[in-house]
Amino acid sequence: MRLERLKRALPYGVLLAAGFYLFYMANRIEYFAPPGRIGPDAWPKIVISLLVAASVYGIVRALTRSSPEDRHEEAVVDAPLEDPEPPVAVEPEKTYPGLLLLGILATLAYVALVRTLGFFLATSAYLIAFMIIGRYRNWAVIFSTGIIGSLLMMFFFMRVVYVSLPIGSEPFSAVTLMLMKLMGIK
Amino acid sequence: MDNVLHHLAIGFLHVFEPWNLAALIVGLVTGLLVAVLPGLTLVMGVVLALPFTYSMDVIPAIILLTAMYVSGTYAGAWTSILFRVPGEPMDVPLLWDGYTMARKGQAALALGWTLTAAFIGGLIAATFMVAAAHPIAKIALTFSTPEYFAILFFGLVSVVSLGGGSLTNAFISLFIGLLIASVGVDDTYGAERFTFGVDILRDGIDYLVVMVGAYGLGEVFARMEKGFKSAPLQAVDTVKTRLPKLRELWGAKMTYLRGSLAGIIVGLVPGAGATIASFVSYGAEMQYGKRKEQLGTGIPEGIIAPQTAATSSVGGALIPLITMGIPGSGATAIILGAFLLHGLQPGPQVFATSPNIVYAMFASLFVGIVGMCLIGYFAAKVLVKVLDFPEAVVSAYVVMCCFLGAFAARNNVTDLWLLASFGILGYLFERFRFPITPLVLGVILGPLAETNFMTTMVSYDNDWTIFFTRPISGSIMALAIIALVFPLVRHRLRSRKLARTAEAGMRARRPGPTEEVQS
Repeated sequence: MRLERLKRALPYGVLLAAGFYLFYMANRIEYFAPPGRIGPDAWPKIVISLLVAASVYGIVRALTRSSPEDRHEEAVVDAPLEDPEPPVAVEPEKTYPGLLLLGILATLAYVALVRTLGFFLATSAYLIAFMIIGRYRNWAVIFSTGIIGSLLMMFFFMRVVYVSLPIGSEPFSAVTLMLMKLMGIK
Repeated sequence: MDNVLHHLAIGFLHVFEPWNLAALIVGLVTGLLVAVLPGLTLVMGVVLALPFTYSMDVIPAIILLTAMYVSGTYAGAWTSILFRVPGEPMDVPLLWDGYTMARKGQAALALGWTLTAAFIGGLIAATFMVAAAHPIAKIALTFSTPEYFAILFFGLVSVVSLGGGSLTNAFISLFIGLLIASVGVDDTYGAERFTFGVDILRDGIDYLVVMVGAYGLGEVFARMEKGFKSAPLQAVDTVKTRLPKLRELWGAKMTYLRGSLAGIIVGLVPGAGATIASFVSYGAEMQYGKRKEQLGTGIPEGIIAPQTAATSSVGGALIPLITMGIPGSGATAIILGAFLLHGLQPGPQVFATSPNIVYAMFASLFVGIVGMCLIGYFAAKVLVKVLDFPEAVVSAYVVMCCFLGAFAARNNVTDLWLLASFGILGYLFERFRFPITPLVLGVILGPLAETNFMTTMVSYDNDWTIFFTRPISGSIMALAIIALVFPLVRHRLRSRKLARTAEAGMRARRPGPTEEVQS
């Protein structure tokens, strides 16, 4: 029970610590203001103070509420209307934290590599990886949509919208440059 | 008035130019598709479309986004009614009567009621928008910074108090949004705030990156954790729309009117959007409807009320955007972004500086509503087939559009890191039940609120009471406080009533002393 309450209070604790740190940072904002005028630190300090106050309230509430069943108390405005359908026994929704972690890692890897690999290579690899992580197993669709989709996006954004997408560095840039030549992108 | 009609007529001419009409149709179809897909929200859809408008002229760009916005409030109803899959949160009330009606074998008629609701609600709101925008802009010209700050304060408070869920969490979300908006070099003193020595943060964090990350990427991560379950498709081949008879339509006239009014008013409030309008309107129907006792049993009023409000909220939300430069919702924030990208600042002056663009947008709303209903009537069967697409594939492309949207804004890979960070933040918000909308509204409205607050403080010698002592700003601040306190009071009253009912129930069940003696 106590652990449960601490768990519920944790996000507010993190926010409280962040609030204090940001207030400290706000105190260090350098500026020159005429006497009697409020400075650029005033607005953030007001907001941080409100954030800290809300976090403290969140912690107190999390620590003093007995169980999550009391959560309806937290809801000031719950869904205004209930589903009039008769309640049916619902199994707890299955979750896949492993997939989520892989998805986030793939996304971060894409951001880290897009400048090195160039848009086309990084994007097709990412799209293919994402669909596989997402438990889709139609390989023909995965590879065709991954590659053709990347080519289409490259064409549209570089040729039509004139966005200079990352070309990549050697030796990967050779692929992008060749594709650009084929698409008539200068 | 003649002047307005004259400009509107020119606006219609602009809309019917080939490229603008093409943009309108593309916007309508994309909006309908986005609304049908449960993983894609209306705001996400408009966000993802923005980079595709970079190379367009301002009029087709605005027309495309507005068309997406309006049609995005309609098509989610189809999947709610047919498959019990709400395409958007705003379509949840349609499950109660729409789906129930479909189960009674009246799916085609339920779709017909939806179509008429979107059509009538949309047109009423569009007419109101055209009639009211110019006068409101004239009033807005007399506003000073305290009034603007009061309006923004009202908007921020409304989104927190109307949004549902925990009030504390909503406030925390809003404060984080306001803090994100304060990152970078400030406008008044040129001082660096919360940049932590990172160069790109000196320019601030673009609200687009926050929106795309928190709404788009965060939602994809959340669905990925649930394993990307595609919605089951049943009976798509039998999808058709049957319009109600004129006599039936006339019988529900008050519901149409109440729904449209609710939608326009909620739309006008900065921060409140189609979802809130839809719930509020259903609630109003439960209180004032002719057949309020039968709501939830599959009656047309339960479809008309939420759908009329959802579509009419578009016209309402565009008014503060055009007349004051204050985006009323996530989607209008993107439309504001499109205006700014083309060097146009919406506000009271825009009627004098760019009437052709404003009235083309207004006219496109009328044409868009008609077009949306025509496409809906003839092509619903084809469009709902998009549900057949595997969710993993759709989500992969959503993520790519997120990346391209964020990258194209500043051509900087660092923005992709910010986007990924806000994607993770958006997921964490969802996981720990912090609403995302206040965060995003905080980022969008934060700079405007700060500028107006600072200017007021400088102009009035740091006298914060000025917000309450000037008649207009004071009234708006009072409204904001009522908006904040009302849900708290209502909740307390409801809790007390529930407790009393429970107590009475317990007493009734407990055997009294005489019963005990008898037994």
